[in-house]
Amino acid sequence: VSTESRIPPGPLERRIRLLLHAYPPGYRADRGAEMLGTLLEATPDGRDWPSARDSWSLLAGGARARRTANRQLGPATSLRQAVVLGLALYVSLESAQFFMPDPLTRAHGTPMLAGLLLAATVLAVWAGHRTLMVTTAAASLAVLAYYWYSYWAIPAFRHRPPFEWTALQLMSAVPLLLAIPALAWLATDARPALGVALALVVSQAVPLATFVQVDIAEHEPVASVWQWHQSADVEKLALAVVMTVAMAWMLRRRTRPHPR
Amino acid sequence: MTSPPMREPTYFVLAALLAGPLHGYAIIKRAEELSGGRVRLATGTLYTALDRLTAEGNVELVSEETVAGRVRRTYGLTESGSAALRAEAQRMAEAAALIIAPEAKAGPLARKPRTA
Repeated sequence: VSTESRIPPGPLERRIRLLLHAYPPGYRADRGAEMLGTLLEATPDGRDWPSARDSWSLLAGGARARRTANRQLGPATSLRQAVVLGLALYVSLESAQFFMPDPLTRAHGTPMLAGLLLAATVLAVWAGHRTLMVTTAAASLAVLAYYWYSYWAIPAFRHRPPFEWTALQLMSAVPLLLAIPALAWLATDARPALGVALALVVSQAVPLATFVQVDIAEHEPVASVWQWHQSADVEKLALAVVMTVAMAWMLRRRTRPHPR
Repeated sequence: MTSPPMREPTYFVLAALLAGPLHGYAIIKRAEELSGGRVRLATGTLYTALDRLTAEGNVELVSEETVAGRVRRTYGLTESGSAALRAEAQRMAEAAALIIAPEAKAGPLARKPRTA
């Protein structure tokens, strides 16, 4: 048996290490090296990838370990994260509406409801209530589906927009598409700072980036939206900025050593 | 109050340790042998089962060594694990007896075999 430990890792080992990131950091520190050794033994010689079964089992095992770790978080921590998440989602949806000129899609109630339901989903995951989690997730997805479908399906709004509009509307869907996996990550992450950081990037940076793009492309098709935005939604963008700063501040606090 | 039936991977992890302590990969191989190749434990499944069994007091860490720069831990069956395994084997044997040898234990499921 070799005792050399400075051999550079091969592709198989690198890929296994990557998959082991499915587990929370504390678990990885305790079990990671042992699991790596077992996986290297279990994978036949000459293969550069662990088997599909092993890969899937690591992802599932990692999610389970994160859920277990999250159950040990205090209710105050869980609640604080859920509130941050709900607010981030709300601001994200509101920012997405920036690109939607129709009064129907400008209604505040729908995205707020979806945001609250998704926040409830996260709470249910943290608390380990699977039935509640499935119910709230299904309800929030239904609300989101209605939110997007209503824009395209109601005859009064079924005009074909110019190309610039379509592109902008697609861009406005990006934060939503990214927010859902971010929520899933946040819901199962035992290290709050990482999950909150991801939610921060996804829910705030994307809408703000698209806002800047509109500012640059201040031409005819965008002008009406720009006027609409000027009239009603400056405060929403201001809220997005405030939330970004607030979450960055929270992250800074979390990285400090625990006071005794 | 009786404990719920064990899942098959859990049963074979415990059965693999019956003859003596083993490390992770050896448990996978032994479980596969004992089950005639039916139970092929994926690595993530094995460690999830070991976490649970250790927390329940059915399995314990016996030794830890470093091989090729990596930690290798050996796990063994506790008395409580051994008792749980035997209780499960007994439960399955009784359930199997209802079907395989109905005349030995006549019950509602016992039937005479059809004759041509």
